[in-house]
Amino acid sequence: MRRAIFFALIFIAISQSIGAQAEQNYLFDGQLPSGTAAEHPLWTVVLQRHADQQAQLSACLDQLAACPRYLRGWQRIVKRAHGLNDHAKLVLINRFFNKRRYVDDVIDPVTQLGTWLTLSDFLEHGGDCEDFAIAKYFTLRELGFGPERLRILSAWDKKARDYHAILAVNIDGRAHFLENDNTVLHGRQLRPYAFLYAVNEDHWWYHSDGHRDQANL
Amino acid sequence: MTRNTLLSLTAAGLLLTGATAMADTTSPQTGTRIKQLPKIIVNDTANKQTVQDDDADLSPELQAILAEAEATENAE
Repeated sequence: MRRAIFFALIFIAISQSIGAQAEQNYLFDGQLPSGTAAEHPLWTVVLQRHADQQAQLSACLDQLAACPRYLRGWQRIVKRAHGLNDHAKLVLINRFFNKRRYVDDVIDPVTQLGTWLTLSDFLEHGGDCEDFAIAKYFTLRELGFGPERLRILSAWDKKARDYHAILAVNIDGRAHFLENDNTVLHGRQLRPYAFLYAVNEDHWWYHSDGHRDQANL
Repeated sequence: MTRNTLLSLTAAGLLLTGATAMADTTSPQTGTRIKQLPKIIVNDTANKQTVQDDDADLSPELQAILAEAEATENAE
């Protein structure tokens, strides 16, 4: 009997360890992509427009005088963040962007899709949750984070009962989530989200848990 | 708890873990790999910003960087 209890405890410990590990690495655990980024129409527009605006962003980073007013603060943040460790970079970038103006999404009456903004357009006009995530994404790219470490995550917020988008960043194999309420969460700290899909410059990933959750609404 | 019960529990746990991993790359309805990007409007009405400007919880170094950025942005 005692031996059975011992083995049962070992089994529970291993199961919990696997569960915690899977949760922490959920987005960066080697899951095969579901398609290329080019399959996401709004994200494709953002990538193209950001590429078109890159020359202005680079000139601004080289010289503050080349920055339009709405990029000046961002320029200082990027310049000063280079000397920080990765976690401090996340906290700084998250805090800087969360001070920006929140503007409701505009839904296209034909496509029934919202608008996704570039980093530059967001800093000029403000935006909603996915625009915050996109701006953080491209700023971390400027700070040397590779696309393989970044995912813009679309999720169903079970508590708020609404869709949400946040940026997920891989630091040392652990997914960190840059929330709009200034928190940088990871693993079990994460709010009750059901993941729908994630995207970076190269690919997108389907996450079935969110769709299962929606089916039960 | 008998040895057989323990083995059954272990097998069930392993099956459950495998099923969960597979669901990430396959459709829950058809079992086939997802090819279509879900059409979802991320409108986020419940997550609108209510963030305070106070940075007192940050390190002095991060507070200084944010203050410098704000001053640069507001400079004439």
